[in-house]
Parts: sequence; structure tokens; C-alpha cells
Amino acid sequence: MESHRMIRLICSILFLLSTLSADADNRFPKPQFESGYTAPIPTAPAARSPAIETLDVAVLLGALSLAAWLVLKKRSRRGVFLLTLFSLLYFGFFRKGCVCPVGSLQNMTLWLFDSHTALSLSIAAFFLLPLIFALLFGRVFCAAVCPLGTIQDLVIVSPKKVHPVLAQILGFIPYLYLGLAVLMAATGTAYVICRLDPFVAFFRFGGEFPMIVTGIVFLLIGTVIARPYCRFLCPYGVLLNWMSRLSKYHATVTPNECVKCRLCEPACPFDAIEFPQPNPTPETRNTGLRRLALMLVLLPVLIGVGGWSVSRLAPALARQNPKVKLAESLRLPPSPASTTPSLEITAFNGSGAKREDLERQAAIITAEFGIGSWILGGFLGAVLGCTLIGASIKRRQEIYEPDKGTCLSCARCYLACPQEHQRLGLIIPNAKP
Amino acid sequence: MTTMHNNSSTYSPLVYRITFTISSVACAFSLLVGILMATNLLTIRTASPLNLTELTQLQTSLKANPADEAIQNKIRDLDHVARSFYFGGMNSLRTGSFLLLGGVVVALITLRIATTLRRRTPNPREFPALPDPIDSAATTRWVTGGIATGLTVCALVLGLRLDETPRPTGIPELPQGGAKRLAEPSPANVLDPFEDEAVTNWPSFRGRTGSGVSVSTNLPIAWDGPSGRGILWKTPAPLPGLSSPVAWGNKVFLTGASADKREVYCYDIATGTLLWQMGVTVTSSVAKASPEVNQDTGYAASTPVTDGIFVYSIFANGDVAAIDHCSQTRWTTDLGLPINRYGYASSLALYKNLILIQFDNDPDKGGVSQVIALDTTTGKLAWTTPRPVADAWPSPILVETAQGAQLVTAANEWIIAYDPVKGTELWKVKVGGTDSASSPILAGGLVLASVAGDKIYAIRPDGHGDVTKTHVVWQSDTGISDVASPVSDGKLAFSVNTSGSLTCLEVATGKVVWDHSLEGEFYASPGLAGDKLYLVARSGHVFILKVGRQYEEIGKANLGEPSDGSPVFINGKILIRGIKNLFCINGYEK
Repeated sequence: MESHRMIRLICSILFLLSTLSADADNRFPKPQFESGYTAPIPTAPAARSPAIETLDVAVLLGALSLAAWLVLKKRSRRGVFLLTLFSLLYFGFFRKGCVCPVGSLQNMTLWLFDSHTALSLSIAAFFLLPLIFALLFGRVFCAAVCPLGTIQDLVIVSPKKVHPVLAQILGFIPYLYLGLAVLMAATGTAYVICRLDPFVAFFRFGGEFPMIVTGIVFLLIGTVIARPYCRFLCPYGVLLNWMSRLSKYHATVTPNECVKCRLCEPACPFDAIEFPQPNPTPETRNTGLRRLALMLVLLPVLIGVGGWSVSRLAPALARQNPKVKLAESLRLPPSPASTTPSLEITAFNGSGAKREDLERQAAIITAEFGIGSWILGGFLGAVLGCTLIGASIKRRQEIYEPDKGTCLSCARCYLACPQEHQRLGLIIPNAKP
Repeated sequence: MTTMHNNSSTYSPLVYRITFTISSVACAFSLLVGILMATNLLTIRTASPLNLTELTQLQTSLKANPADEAIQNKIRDLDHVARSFYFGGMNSLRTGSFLLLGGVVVALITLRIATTLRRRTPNPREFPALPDPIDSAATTRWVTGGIATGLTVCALVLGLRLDETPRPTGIPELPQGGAKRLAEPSPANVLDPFEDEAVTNWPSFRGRTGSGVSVSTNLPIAWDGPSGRGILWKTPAPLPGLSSPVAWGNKVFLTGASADKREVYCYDIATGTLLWQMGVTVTSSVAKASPEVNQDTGYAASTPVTDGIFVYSIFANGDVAAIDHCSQTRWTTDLGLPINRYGYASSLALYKNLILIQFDNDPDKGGVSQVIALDTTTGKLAWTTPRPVADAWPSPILVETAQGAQLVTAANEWIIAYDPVKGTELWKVKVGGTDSASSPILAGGLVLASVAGDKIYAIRPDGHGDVTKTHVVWQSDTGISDVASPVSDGKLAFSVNTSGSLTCLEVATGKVVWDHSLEGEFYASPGLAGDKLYLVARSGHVFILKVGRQYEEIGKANLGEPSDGSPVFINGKILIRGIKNLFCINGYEK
């Protein structure tokens, strides 16, 4: 009986193998030269069903709530880690990383600037819910819900500290990225954040070669520089940072009174713990005030200079818009060397669209870039000016606590605190003599 | 006082060694798989079935010989091998990615365990001293200032560089109301036929100045239309016509017409694909009678002209149209029905922003001959000058002289030159003959005009008024062409008449250097490229001669169908219109 079963099994395997090889042979039908083949009409993939979209929003809300509970109430790093795994699977691999709150920023922008663009409730929810939670509980979204963050979180092996100067320089990039992404989305040019998303190729098991390489590079760097994308690139992180600064309930390093034991100093892989200030070098009050006044005066100057400088780049930025680019290509005299027009020109020629309309649209978009680049430059100038003002205001820092803006609420620092150990019963207070 | 849980108490060297070894192996494995995948990916990308040169060549050969089964089988085999290789590689990549993922996961987990095992209990005494907040704030300010300065400098440098970048010619500045600005004259809309751009393209009948001469030297001398050998593509024109093609960049334009329909066609020069066809309808011409035309003239004998943005065309019923290269009609106008015994056939000339039209009509039937200039932007009349000639079929040419540009026209009574900008008559020469269709040319500084039934005239174009007695350098009774126009390299001029009598004349003196009788009839004006002379017979045979003081035939090719089209030379290819098809010839090695 057993031998029969074995023979049947072997036969089945052989049969399956034979069909596989047959498939391989027939996989590429030989070219027919008079087949009358007509190219299929391209179709767009069906939109996600409303039920699934509602489920997505519900899952997001649940995940954020759970994250807030785990971080603030439960103070469980393990729980945060498990939620991280779930979020990576659901928002990353199941939802294929789209729409993520980071990218939804562009949908919101386009909706605000283009009256013809509709915004689904789910996208609005994906954009707003993490911000609302950040306003209430800090960046719990970054801690365990964001698919881009979770994939980086899993590869942190031996995090090193980034030199403060380098961290400050790199920390400016998200503002630049945010400004450019908003400008590009507002003008209907491109969803830059999605186009440059380094991890979406992993979630979809495929993508452009440069995209995959960039993702691998980020993950490799992420083994020693924790979450490089979140800290030095993420444009949505800027908004979360602002909201989190205002949060009422934020994670704390210690569940009790800080004993300033310094044990938590190396615990944060993101350098997001603020240390108590030692006694500073004496400085007269007048010196500090004069400096602050100077910085306040400098703020509008920086805004103006920033706006003017970036406005110089407006034509180059406008050329990133497909319509402006196409209009410019059509105005160019054809090169004698090239015999075939670009695909865009061929498509335009075949579309029956009017050249005048294209020129008019291109002119409007170019003008929008003119205004947008002033605003972008002004915004960057304002960021720098505010940084200068912030660095000119004296603050008193008495205990070890997370920087509300940059802390990702990952709960890693909890177990570094002896008070937390005591809370968990891992250590026993010495008996009183 | 409390005591901390000591991690070092759980440290086991054996466990650490095992995890470290596993992580090292996993890292090495992942690296190896990664390298193999990268190599595989590069190989696949270079050997993509869509980019195989051999396959492309075979496909091109198949286009020329669609019924060749040997080529078809070769393509099938090669295609199968290429696809098998490609998809096999893709399968390996997929397998590799799972292996890589497994390797990386194992490496990460074991590395995490190893680092955790080696983690030491932090000792605050070893921590660096906390930084002075005043110093930290100062550093922050300096770094911020540096970023601000750096960004401003970058933006300025980039902005300056962009300002220096030459903008594409002909870009209308359109920040306020693009459509309005487009309707105004723009530089691209102004063609100077003596400038480089017009040289590299073929904007009008017989090239930029209408002399049939090309600067190209690498043109084919062997092709065979019936078998498709040496023919890059051939494509039918939807409506018939005797006009020749014009070419600009990657587009070829042609006209075709029937008694009640007039159309302009645009083809892709690389493939012959008809990119668009646009009907020409002038509102007033709806009720207009159809002109009476001779079979040898037809309804679309006039060659269009292009300035790189628009293509301008004229038809036998006097309809003129300006259509941009994207098929949008800019304007149309009706010059009125030409009164012409054989049908209107003069091609258009273009000078800067003016379309120049030799509009000669039969005075016996009440027609008035005139030269007309239309504004390229609006189609409105810029100027018109009446001329004392009867209906004729030559095309006007533009010549550049020391005194400025001239529009030279030929007819049976007079050869007359006009100022192309104002339309004023500059000089004229009295001639005779009847039914002349041959266009004049500029050769060696002289205007050569072959007048049917009369003579060939060589005229110095620097006179004023009637220069019949003062500026005619020589006249010749030999080598008069009646339909085809002459062609010259500046030293020798070649002229072929309908019956195939080809004469070579010395430009400076008018002396006959040699003559030769060719087989067949000739209507098409010959073309000259480098040292090669191309003569298209009505049968479709093309005689290729070496330009020289002796008759030397270097090739004889066959189009495979009758043709009265003048050859167009562009980018090493020849375009010739046959009676049915437009041919693009790239030739083959003999």
C-alpha cells in the first residue's frame, strides 16, 4: 500500500514536472508575421474597493491607538516591536506601501491647489490621523505604524551617534524635500515623494533598478545609522515633528522621577534624548538679548533672500513639469541627427490636442512655479531663521527627557532607566538599613 | 539604593561564537547572492530580446522581403532563444531575491543577538562630558548660517548658469497668454533660405533656394524598387499629386488632391508612418468650381514649403493653407480660381515671414498674372505685383546677390526679378517661346533660365529695369529643357528635355561640353548632390551620373513605378514621390 502511494506520488511529481517543461516550451509563441495582432487597449488597475479602504482606515486608527497605548500606558518595547511587524506586513506588503501618509501629503496638496482634483476620505484620513495622534501623543505613527519606518527599524543592528553638526545639516534636508514636494504637487508636476520612495520596491517585490539600489543602500546605512530616511529625508516627518512638539501626552524616558543616572544617554539610536544642561559659561543678559534681537531682524531678511534665490531656479523647476517640457520640446527645431521624435511628441501629435492650448497651460504652470519658488525659498529662509532664533533662546533643561520633535516614541529608552526596571519589578530596591 | 540587572552575567562565549559564525556565513552568503544577482541583472539588461541588434537587422530584412521564409524562421529561432534566456534569467533573479532575503534576515537576527550578547552594562563614568549649552547654541547658529549661505550661493550659481543656457530657438516668451503671443510673428516663423537651418533641411521645391542642389555627399546610388532592396520605406499617398515632398527634421510633408478634396500629409522620416493628414478647406472654396487641369498636372502639382513650424501649401484651385507640424491649421485663404490652360503648377517660395506665389493666369480668358506675397502668420496679403506675362508653370526661386535677396520668376514673355520684401520689380529680360514649365536656377553667380521654345539665358542678376541688352551673358539654342529645370554645380549646368536629351553646358560661357541621349521621358527636375547627378525618368528609372566634363553613368536604379517627382536629399537618404507611393531610399552597397 505504502509503495503504491509512493509510486503515485513520484508519477504525480513527474507529471507536474513534465507540464512545467511543456509550459516553458510554449511560453513564448513563435512570432507570426501575418497574425493580425492588434495591440490591447491599455487599462488602469481597478481602484481599491470602498470596503477595503474603510478597513484600511480602521486598521490605521486601531494601529495608532494601540501604538499610543503601548508607548504611553503599557510602556512596552516588545509590544511596539510586534506592532511594527504587523504594520510592516499590512501597510507595507499587503497595501504595497500605498497610499501611505507620507505620500498622502501630495494628494492633499494637489486637492488644495487644483479644484478639479477630488480627495477620497481614506486619503484624508491617512494624512490627518497620524498628525492628530502626534498632536496628542507624539510620533507614535513613526514608532510602529509607518511602513517606511518599520522596515528601517528592523535592520538597526549597531546604531552609532551622528555628529551633531552633520545631524543638523542633514536635518535640514526634510524641509527642502517637503517644500519641493509641495511645489511639485501643487503645480501638478509630479508626486516626487512617491517617485523617490526607496522602499516601495520591496513592498511590491519589484521596481526600477535605481529604486531597488537606493532602498538597499538606505537599509545598509540603516544598520549603523538608525532610520536614516525618517531622520534626514522624510517630508511628512517635518509635519509630525511640528505636531509632536505641541503634544500633550508624550513618552517620557522615566516612568517616575529622573535620577539623572545618565544610563539612558546611549539608549536612543536616534539621538533624540535631551540632556540636562550643565552650568553654562557665564554670558551677560545684554549679550543674549542683543543676539536674539539680531536673529529676529535676520528672520525677514532670510525669508526674502531665500525667496529671491530660489526664484532664480523657477525656470529649471518648471521644466520638470511634463507639459512645460513638452511645449519646450515642440518649440525646439528637430535635430538633424535624430530621426524619430520622442514618445511624448508622438503621443501629443496623435492626440489631436491643440498646440495653443498646450502653450497656454505651460505658460500658466511656469507662472505658478515663479510664485511657488518664491514661497519655497521664503519657507526655507524661515526655517533657517527660526533655527537661529531657537539657538539664541536660553532654555533650562533639568532632567533627561525625549526631544518631543525628533523622538520617534520607539520605547527603546525605557529599559535603560532604572526607574523602569523598578516599575517592572526587574530590580529590587535595597532594604532600608 | 537599587541594583541594576547585569547583562554581562548572561554572556556565554559559546553562544556568542555560534551566532557570530552564523551571522558571518549569512553575510557572506548574502553578499555572494547579491553579486550574482547584480551580474545576472546586467547580463539580462544587455541581452534583452527587444534590443538584439541581430534581431532588428533580421526584422528590417524581413520588411524588405516579407515573404522570405528563411528570414522568418531565423527570427523565430533567435526570438525563442533570446526570450528563453531572458525569462530564465528573470526566474533566477526571483529565486535569488528569496535567497537574498533569507540570508539577510538570518544575518540581521544573528547580528542582533551577537551585539546584544556583547553589550556591556553602560558605565556613566566613561560617558563624555555633557556639552556646554552656550557652545552648542553657538555651533548651531554657525552651522545654520553656513547652510543659509551655501544654499543661497548654490541657488545663485545655478540660476546664473540657467540664465546663460541658450533657450531653444523660436521659443515665444509666453508668461502672459500663450495663444495670443503665438499668433504674433516669432523668429521660428521666419525662414531665411540662405541660413544654415534651411541648408540642413529641405524646406521647399528643389531645396532651400530652388536650385536642386544638396550639400550631402553620402547618398545612395543603388536601389531596386520592385524587390525593395535599398528602399528604407515606401508608403502610399492617400490622394494623387505631382508635388514633391519637403522635409524638416524628422518629418516629411506632401500634398495630394482630387477634384473635390485637398490634403496635406505628414510622414515620419524614419519609418514612413503617416503621422497625420489634414484636409484643406477654405470656406469660400466650398462653392468654387473645380479647375480644369491636364492629366500631367493634376490638382496638387505645387510643392509645399515649410519654415520648421508650419507647412504652407497651394492647390490647383488657388486654396492656400498654413498647417503646423502637429496638424493644426493656422489659416487658409483663397486666391481665386487660377485661369491656366494645363492647371496651376508653380511651387511656393518662402522668404522670412512671406510666402511668395507666382500666380500667372491666361490673359486671353480674363486672367491677371501677378506675384503675391502672403504673411505667414495671418495669411493676409502683404503685397501683390502684376506682371506682363501669360499663364506659366515654372516655380519662382530666391537668389542672394550683393544687392540683396531677389525673387526670380520665369515665364514665356519675361524673366523678372522682384524684391521679395516689397514686391518691387528689380530687373527683367525679354524672352520668347511657349508653354514653359522649367524653373530658373542660380549657377556661378548667373541666373540660368531655360525657356521652352526659345533659348537658355544666362543673366547677371545685378541690373535694374530691362536688362535684356546689358546683362544677358550668353544665350544657347542647345540643351533647352521644357518641363524639367536645369541643375548646376556652379561650373557646369545640366539640362534634360522631355525626350531625354541631356546637355552639359559650361556655366561661364554657355558652351556645350557634352550631350547624351537618355532612355525615356523626363518631367522631373534633376538633383545634384556632391558630385552625383540624379535624373528621374517618367518610367521610374533613375540615372545617376558623375558630375564632370565627360558623360559618366555611375548607376541606374529603378523606383518600380512611374514618377515625375524631383529628388529630395536629406540626411543621406533620397525621397522621391512615385505615382502612387512616396519612397525613402537608403540604398545598398553595390
